[in-house]
Amino acid sequence: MREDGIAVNRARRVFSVILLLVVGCICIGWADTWEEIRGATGTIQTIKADFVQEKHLSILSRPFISKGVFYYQAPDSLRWEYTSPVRSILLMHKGKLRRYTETGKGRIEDSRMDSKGMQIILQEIALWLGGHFSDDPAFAATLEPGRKIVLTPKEEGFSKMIQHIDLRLSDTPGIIKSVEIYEGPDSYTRIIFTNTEINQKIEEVLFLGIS
Amino acid sequence: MRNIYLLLMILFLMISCAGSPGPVTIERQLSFDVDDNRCKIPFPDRDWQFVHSIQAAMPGGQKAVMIGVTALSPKTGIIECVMMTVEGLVVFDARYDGQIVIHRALPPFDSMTFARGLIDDIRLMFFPPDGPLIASGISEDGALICRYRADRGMMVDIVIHEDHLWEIRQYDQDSRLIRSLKTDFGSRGTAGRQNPIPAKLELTAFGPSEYALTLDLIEARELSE
Repeated sequence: MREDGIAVNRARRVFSVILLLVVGCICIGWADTWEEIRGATGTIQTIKADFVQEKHLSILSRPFISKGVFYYQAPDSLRWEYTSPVRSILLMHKGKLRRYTETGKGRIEDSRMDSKGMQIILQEIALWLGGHFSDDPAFAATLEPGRKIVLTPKEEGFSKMIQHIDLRLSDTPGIIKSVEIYEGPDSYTRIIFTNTEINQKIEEVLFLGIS
Repeated sequence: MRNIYLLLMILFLMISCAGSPGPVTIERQLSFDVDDNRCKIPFPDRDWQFVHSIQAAMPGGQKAVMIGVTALSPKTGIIECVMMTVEGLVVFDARYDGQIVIHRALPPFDSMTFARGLIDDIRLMFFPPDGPLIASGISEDGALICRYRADRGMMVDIVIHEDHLWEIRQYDQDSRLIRSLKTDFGSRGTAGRQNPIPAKLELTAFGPSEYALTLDLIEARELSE
């Protein structure tokens, strides 16, 4: 079971990278070229959005639905919060990454968020928020018709976990409609964003704790 | 100095031996015929799909929460199981049909030892023991005990309490407790059914690599419906 903890930590770090990628992408304006995307990213300071996460698996007769809300403040503050069915909060603020999960026996903190993983995440978010998708060492990005961006892992090790990520942009500049994370042909996660607010004031306390 | 080492060794042995309680004492014997279903109440009699949040407590006090999806077929014995993070990243996906086929396993979940242990735990929780009923009766506190012989010289006690909650206790060939499953119907269970679905399952593994899993039911769906 000690190994399980390592795996959980590793998987969570991978997913933290993906969440930050999603957040990075949600900032991007509606655009047809990488240059336009780079130009649109500079004005985003904060984002708040509700999300519905559908987990599709061949074993599931219908998708497993989770709901939540996230907050982002440039340059590196994030609160990714699941409100149902499992309450869980990922907090990132000033170089610290923490996770809390509600259980029947109270709230537990995952203390295994290591600083090396954190540095990698911060490097990634800096690239994405700058719109430098084509310079990203971890993902190869392609722009496709229909306001779709496809991200494919460059490293073989990473591609064993994630095959590709599809981002669908909204008609409205700066708003992303959905993200689909494909682990295999029968297993993918779709995150649909609603009520997105850009550049509204977000209290710093939201990134500090689990209030 | 030598005496101190001796004392420490005796103390260590005493602690080691005291850690694993033995089988529940049967105070009053009862004889069940083959068709008696009282011992099978804990086990689903139809195809089900469960989604649980799983809290794992590991050696050293580390804890983690995962989501587990399990599909069971009591008639065929087939098990499909997926473990994923709260965020939906699948870390383990396998099917058991007499043999284990792993569809996806991220390191270090990618060992057959882990897969076997997981399938064994699922079978213990949701399937009646394979072996014969060797004893049955009532315990001192009024619980119904069904004792089965299991594989590799092991033994399994199904303990059904008067409040209809149950425990499953698995012993090794030396009659030491190696697994304990406790149940709770909570407010989301299905206590009224013939084979009720507990809202909470607490599995504790004893021995050199102890762990505890608490499974809270998120969703139960009868697949044959």
